[in-house]
Amino acid sequence: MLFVSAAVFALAGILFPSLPFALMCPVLLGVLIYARSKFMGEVQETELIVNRSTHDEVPFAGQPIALSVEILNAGPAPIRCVLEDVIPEDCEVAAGSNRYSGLIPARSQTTISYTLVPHKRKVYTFEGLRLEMRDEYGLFSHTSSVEDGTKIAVHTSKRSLQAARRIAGREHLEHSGKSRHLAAVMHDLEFDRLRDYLPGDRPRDIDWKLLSRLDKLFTKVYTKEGAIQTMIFVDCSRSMRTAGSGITKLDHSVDLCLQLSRVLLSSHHAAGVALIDEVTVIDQLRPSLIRHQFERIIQMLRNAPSTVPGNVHESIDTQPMADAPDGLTANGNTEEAAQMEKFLSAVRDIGVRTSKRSKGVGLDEVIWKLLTGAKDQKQMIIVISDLISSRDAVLASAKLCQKKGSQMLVLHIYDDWYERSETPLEVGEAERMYGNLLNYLDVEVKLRKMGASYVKVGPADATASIVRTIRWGKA
Amino acid sequence: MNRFRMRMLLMFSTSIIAILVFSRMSSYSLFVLAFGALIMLIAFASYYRPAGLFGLFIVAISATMSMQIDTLIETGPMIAVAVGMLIPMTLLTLFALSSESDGENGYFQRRPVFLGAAYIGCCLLSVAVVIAITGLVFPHMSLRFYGLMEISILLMVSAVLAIALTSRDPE
Repeated sequence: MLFVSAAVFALAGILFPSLPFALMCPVLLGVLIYARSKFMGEVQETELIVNRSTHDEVPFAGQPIALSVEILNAGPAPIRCVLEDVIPEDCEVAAGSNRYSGLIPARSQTTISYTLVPHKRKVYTFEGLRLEMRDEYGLFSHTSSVEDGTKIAVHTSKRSLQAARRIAGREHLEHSGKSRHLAAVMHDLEFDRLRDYLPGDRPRDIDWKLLSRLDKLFTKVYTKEGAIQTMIFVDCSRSMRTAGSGITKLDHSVDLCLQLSRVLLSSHHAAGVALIDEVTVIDQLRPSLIRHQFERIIQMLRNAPSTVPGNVHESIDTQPMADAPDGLTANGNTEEAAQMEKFLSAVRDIGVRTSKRSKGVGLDEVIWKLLTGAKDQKQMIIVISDLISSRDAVLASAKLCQKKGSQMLVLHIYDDWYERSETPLEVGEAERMYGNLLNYLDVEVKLRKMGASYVKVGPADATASIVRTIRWGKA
Repeated sequence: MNRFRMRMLLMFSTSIIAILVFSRMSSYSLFVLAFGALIMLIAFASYYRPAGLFGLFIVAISATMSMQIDTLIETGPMIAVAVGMLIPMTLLTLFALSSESDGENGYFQRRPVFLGAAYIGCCLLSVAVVIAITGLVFPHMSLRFYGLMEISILLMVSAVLAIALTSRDPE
């Protein structure tokens, strides 16, 4: 407006040769320069500090989260602005407003409060606030962003927890074996072996019948049998995180893990959970029967990584699995496939095994540590994985479990069942799926030979049906 | 009414008086000026900036039409135009732009004031400076500056300076 007025006066000054008209041009432009310079100073002096907090300790998908964003203007100049808290994808504002419009005086604070509903289990990253500053005279505006980077880990849907409580009331899992620790489900003392009498042994433990026959004192050694500790390993590898069109594998695995741990804890089994990826343990919680163990598991499972969009079927061709020495290869047709192949080969290189013991990383390493740390105590290992990048690790772990006398249950998140394709099945695709089936049958046979239980899990499989399958010995 | 708005009103009335004192107003120009000033006051009272700018435009036309000045190379007319038009119109523009503002923010910057004042001063002195430079460079040359020439120099200098001063973007 001012600029146009200045131009009009300049034109008038030329058309009606008049100096006063022409002089109005520098007057208006001078004010414009003053206002602009003042605004630039304010923009440069702006210093906003954002502090975001949520009132919910564990936010769940589909449940509203109360968010409070405190914005402190730490600069010396007041800010006339429109602030908008940029909400992440898959979220919507349920109540309140994520915008603020008005003046924030210097060295004072304002708060935006609103309620957000996240739709998925995910770690939501709040990028920050979009700041649109305006000057005092309404002539200029400047848009910038105030970076924040707050992360809020949203847990799986609350329905899953309710289902866990329901299933735990109905279904029970029981695995017994040698246990060093007292467990609530304690069987009678079982006779283990005889050993030479040592001074101090209780008279009731002495085998008096053998004394009459062999004329030597022997002491009977008993072992306590109780519910054995169970560790559930959730594979959070790249292939598990890749989301197709339907329910994602990792989300289903987290739900399964949550519900299984609840069933185990309600059956007085010490249960623990570990999140693992191809090379490392993301987080783990030791098996325990302490109070609030389930709440601790819920908290821990929040750290499960988010799913990423993509299609693992396009990137991984599991058909040549049998031919390939390490069991997996990528078809190499797409850039994504090449990346996946490179990634898997890098993982395989890290996890080179020797004849002595597993020098693997990720799953087999952590299971090796767990079993060797437990000495002669039996363990129950439950692995929830799609066996794409962790196939070798699972087989190595099963071998180790067999050697240590521990039990292993593999819940195979069957990859092909999670892909809901809109297009009709083509011959090539059907062949690939058949090839996968044959390969995984081979894996199943190997696992069963090593004494491990194996269950194929699809998106429709609920925890109750899986527990029943295990109890009836069909696994 | 707070102190800021009181001060703005004082600034407004002083500017109008300065315009009236230093110009030769006809009754018609006076009526137009009064009309424009009234619009500005109403806009200020009702916190409505566009109307304030409209009033400013009317006041500016009236003030420029009644200001009798032929050259910018003599000190008398230069002072008269500075006190009777440039300063009051600058203040009136700030008054019109502040219609929606409710108070000072307590944050004063010297640089914008200096820049604005320096810009207007440079434009005012531009014609005299150009003539002085021409006289120094070509001492034997006899030049006659017409009104349109002065206007051209003034507008050219103001455009060049405005571009130079507004070329930097805020970071």
